[in-house]
Amino acid sequence: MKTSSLKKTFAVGLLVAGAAFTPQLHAQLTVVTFSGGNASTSVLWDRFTNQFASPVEITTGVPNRSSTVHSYQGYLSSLPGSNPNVQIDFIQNGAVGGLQDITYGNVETNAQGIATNVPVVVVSSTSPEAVGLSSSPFTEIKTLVAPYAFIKSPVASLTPGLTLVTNLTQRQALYLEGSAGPNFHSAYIGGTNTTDSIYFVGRNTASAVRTETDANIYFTGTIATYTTNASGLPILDPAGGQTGGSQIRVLVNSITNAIGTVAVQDIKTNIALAYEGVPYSVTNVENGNYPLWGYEHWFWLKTGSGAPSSAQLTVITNLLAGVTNVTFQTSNPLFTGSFVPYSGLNVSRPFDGGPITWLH
Amino acid sequence: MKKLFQLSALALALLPAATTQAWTYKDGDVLLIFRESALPTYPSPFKNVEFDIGSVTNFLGKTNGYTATVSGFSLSPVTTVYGSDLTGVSVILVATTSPTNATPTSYFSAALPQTFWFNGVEPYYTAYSVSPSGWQGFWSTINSIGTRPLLYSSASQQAATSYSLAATDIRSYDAIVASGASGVSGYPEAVAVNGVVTQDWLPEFGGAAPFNVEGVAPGSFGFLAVTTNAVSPVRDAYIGTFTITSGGVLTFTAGPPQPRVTAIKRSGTNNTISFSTTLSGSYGLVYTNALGGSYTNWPSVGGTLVGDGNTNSLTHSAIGNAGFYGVVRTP
Repeated sequence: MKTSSLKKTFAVGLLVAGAAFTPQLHAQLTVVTFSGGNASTSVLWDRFTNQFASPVEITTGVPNRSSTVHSYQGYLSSLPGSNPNVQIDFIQNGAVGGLQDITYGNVETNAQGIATNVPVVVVSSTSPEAVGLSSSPFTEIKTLVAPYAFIKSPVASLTPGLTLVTNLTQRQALYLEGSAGPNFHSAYIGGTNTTDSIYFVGRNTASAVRTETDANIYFTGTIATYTTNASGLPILDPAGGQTGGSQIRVLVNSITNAIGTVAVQDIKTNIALAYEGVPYSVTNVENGNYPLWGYEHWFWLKTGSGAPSSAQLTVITNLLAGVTNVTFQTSNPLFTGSFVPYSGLNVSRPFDGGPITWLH
Repeated sequence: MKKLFQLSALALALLPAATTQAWTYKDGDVLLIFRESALPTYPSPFKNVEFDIGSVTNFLGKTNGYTATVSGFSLSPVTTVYGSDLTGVSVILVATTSPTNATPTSYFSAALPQTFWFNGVEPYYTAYSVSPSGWQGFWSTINSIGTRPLLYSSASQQAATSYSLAATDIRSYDAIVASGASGVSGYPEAVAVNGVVTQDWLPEFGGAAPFNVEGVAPGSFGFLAVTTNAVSPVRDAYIGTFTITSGGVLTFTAGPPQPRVTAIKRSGTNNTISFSTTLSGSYGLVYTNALGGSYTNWPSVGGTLVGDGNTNSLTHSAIGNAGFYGVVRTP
């Protein structure tokens, strides 16, 4: 048990932590706050448990823990202090939200309710340029490849207009995202009905699923994305999109004739549509035939007050080694069912949604 | 020879919101865009300068001839980018209803479920409408032009009253409108001709509109309301004319342009009057053989025709040696 007399290296924010929260203070606790996309949450947690001793997620006495805000503690012998001497706060506010955090110094609130953490590292499948930011202030590490897909429900009775729709071309996808709804018919995208209604269910603008899909299909408009009202009927989503893949799946599986966009890890039992005639597979991504993908990156500031300290860099480097480990990326089911190994790519692209060229 | 004249009436007023306003876009707001169009290469080295000048209702429902200075923007950001001479600068005005506002009946006398507005250059030869899903595509683009500056800007930037955005900036009109057209990789709205990358689709709203939507500064351009073909009969509406001077003074005159008499021909006792028309209105002649009194009391003669954007003619048989004609349009 630690005592309050021990010095804490990460002290900012305690003044505003609130009366309901009594922080546990630890000697030489190196805190690294991650923000960004939630596509690889499970990967991050798995790698944390692999790279740090005595890993534990803080679940008691914390006011702000949620499905999108987590805090983990563990021990790294190369850093000073006794167990635990490392804390990872992970704020899953979307790839775009994370990039805006470290660009503009936005404050986030961690699981312990500390509201003064400016994230140090951003995990993002979106490049800064794709959302109007410059990448020049950042150190950038590509960690993996995140593929995306258009999906429909596996229940035939729920997709009468989509029976023949097994593929989307770029133009069809573009048209669908901007114009879906009561007046958008399956005949526009490969079906035969000219009177039915095809609905689109998309992610919000903070997500890489949204920005990367849009970049790949050259869509720059506002999506016509749907949710359901209290009666279960489709209505334009007032929030402009969903916050997670599971929500997309729920809506696709409840709205008649709905098509959604998800990261591949969220396809689950839904049916993925081919894109430009090519179905999703790891091989089709690696060989450049299936273009709906983006690099996942880690970004941190090179210099300035928001740049990681030496101790934080040690934590980052350690965790990064676990995430990019080739054996992990090619054999661990946690990874292989959801992502494409960065080392396996035979192609590259210069920017999000950009042309794909052969590497060899 | 008959003496001819046009009937016109002018009213002068000032629109509300005479000061520059913060960018707080919501569907129904008019976006005023300045962009460089004279250069042959894309992307233009000049930034887009964009304003949210408030609700489109400021321009709707006005009496024909109502004239006002549009002062809900500042010229300063424009001259900062382009200099004091606006020659070669294009001006675009766009607005859209919201897809959740199904019946904006306040905009017109009849319920129009979906509408968007933008400027275009005369003449207009065909009634222009889009399918409901096509309309939604326009909404998608216009809404994005309005919301992206807020979505992808820092908190301090969001307080701006205007945005000066590089043509390649994802928040800019150029970058948004260019989406989807096929062309050079990375700049999908551009095409390469003999190795030179040129703009292609931007003046036609990224290829979505059947005519050029860019007004030229200095100059005048029409402001159109376009509805969906779910409305019967299909129609579009000429809301008014905007005029921008070389000094950046923007004025709005409500209603279609006044018909302009272009020719008169007499054959026997038949007088044929030719005049310009604007799409959709009903045109007719009024006549008197003796000046005096209000022209509103002159009798209509020679029947009517529906404007189609062309120069059209009506014929009146008159045996007198002198007379006076007027051309009137309704509404």
